[in-house]
Amino acid sequence: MTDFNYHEIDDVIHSRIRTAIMAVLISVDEAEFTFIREKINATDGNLSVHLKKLEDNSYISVKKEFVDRKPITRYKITEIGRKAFEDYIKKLESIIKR
Amino acid sequence: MHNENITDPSGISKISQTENELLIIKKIVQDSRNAVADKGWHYIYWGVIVTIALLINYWMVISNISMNYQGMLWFISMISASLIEMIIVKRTEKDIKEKTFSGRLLSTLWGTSGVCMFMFGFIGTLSGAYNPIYIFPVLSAVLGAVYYISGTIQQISWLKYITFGWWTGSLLMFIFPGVNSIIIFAAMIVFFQIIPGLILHRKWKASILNY
Amino acid sequence: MQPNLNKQQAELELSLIRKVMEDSRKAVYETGKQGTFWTLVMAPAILLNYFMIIFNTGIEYTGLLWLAAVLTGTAGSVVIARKEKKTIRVKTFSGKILTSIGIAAGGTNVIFAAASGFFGVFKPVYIVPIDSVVLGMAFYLVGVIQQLKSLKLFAFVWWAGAVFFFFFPSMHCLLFLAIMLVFMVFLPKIERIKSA
Repeated sequence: MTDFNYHEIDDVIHSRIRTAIMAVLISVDEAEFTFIREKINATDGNLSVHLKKLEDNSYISVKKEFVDRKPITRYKITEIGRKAFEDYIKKLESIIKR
Repeated sequence: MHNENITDPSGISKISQTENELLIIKKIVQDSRNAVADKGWHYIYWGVIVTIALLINYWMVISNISMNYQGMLWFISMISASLIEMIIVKRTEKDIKEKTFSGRLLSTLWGTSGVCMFMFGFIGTLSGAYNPIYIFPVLSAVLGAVYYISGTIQQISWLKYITFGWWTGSLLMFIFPGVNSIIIFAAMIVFFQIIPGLILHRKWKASILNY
Repeated sequence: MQPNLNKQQAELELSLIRKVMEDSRKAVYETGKQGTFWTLVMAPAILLNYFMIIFNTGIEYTGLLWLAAVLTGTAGSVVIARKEKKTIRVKTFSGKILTSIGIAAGGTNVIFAAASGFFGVFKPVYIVPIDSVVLGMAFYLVGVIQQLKSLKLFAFVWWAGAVFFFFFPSMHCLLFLAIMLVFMVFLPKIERIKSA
């Protein structure tokens, strides 16, 4: 164990699913719920909870629309989210280089 | 998630794999940054040079100075402006630590459009494909395309709308060709290139202050 | 939730992030169906037009041929766009730029076609070299976006072809255009298969 201060770690991103969600969304411009679910192997309920947490913290934005009367939910990373993710990567890097 | 090399007893591949992973992640994060900090100086620089060259060209036409000299004016001014720009870019790029995907793409867009405009301006007319007076509507059509793509890359809608100004001007100059095309094109350069360049520059300055 | 992170956990975290990122990016390669469809419509139309001129038959139907080609292309485009809207679950920035390149190059070439066809600015034989200059720019940009060297190299073939047909205009330029368009469809696919 290191003496790393966990308070410095972003609590919102630092969870396996949320980290994976952010990694998916930073790699694409916009992604549908089903695409994210497929990429991170999560259940609908579990994914929704984590997406909500990211949305509540303004890390991602949500767009809902209807295509052929079917509801489609698209997610996009925000500037705040991008900055937080970049900081998170920097933190991980600093731990490794310690 | 399982990392195959983490338990490597030598420890060498472990380090290199982690570093490699960091590099890949950083590259994707960097490429995903779509924002381009456009100072707008390219627009202003080329706008001013082309406007001056156009005004000299207009004076040459009304003074009955031979076409060869007019061609020379464009050849010398465009080549020297490109060289100066290359020097400026090389000097300023030293300060830029990271270049985004959008930034690279924007440079490629303007570079390839330069090739296009050179071909239309010199090869198109030298080969006799069209009368030199049609250079301006041809270039306007190309600039329209460039602004549309540029607007998408920079995510600036109004830059995309300028395309329709270039294309409308192009069609008008095709329909009503004449020496006036030079003046029309100069006005288009001022309104569709220099002024947008100044707006971009102001926005860039404001973003620096806010940062 | 982990209270703190040690070095090994951080490495695992990075490994997870890298894998998810690469996996997501692989999944979003543009289908290029629109471009392929347009090429499959236009290349035969260009070839047909070429043979009509070479064998001097059915010249009076040239206008009709192009009207049919453009209508088929547009109708097919709409159908593909509708289908893709239902099936494509990811939107990428690259995809948006690729669409804008298509619109920009298409719009510019329509203006040039109008300048020749309606305003008689240049002879129809010069449309191909003029369009080739713009297509060279478009394919170079697509090559940069999709990281396909073949497309970037072929941009120079477009430009070389344009220079040649500017100085030596002939109806054979239609054959050049048709062959180049077919190459443009298959070349990226071959390069992707090879690199995979």
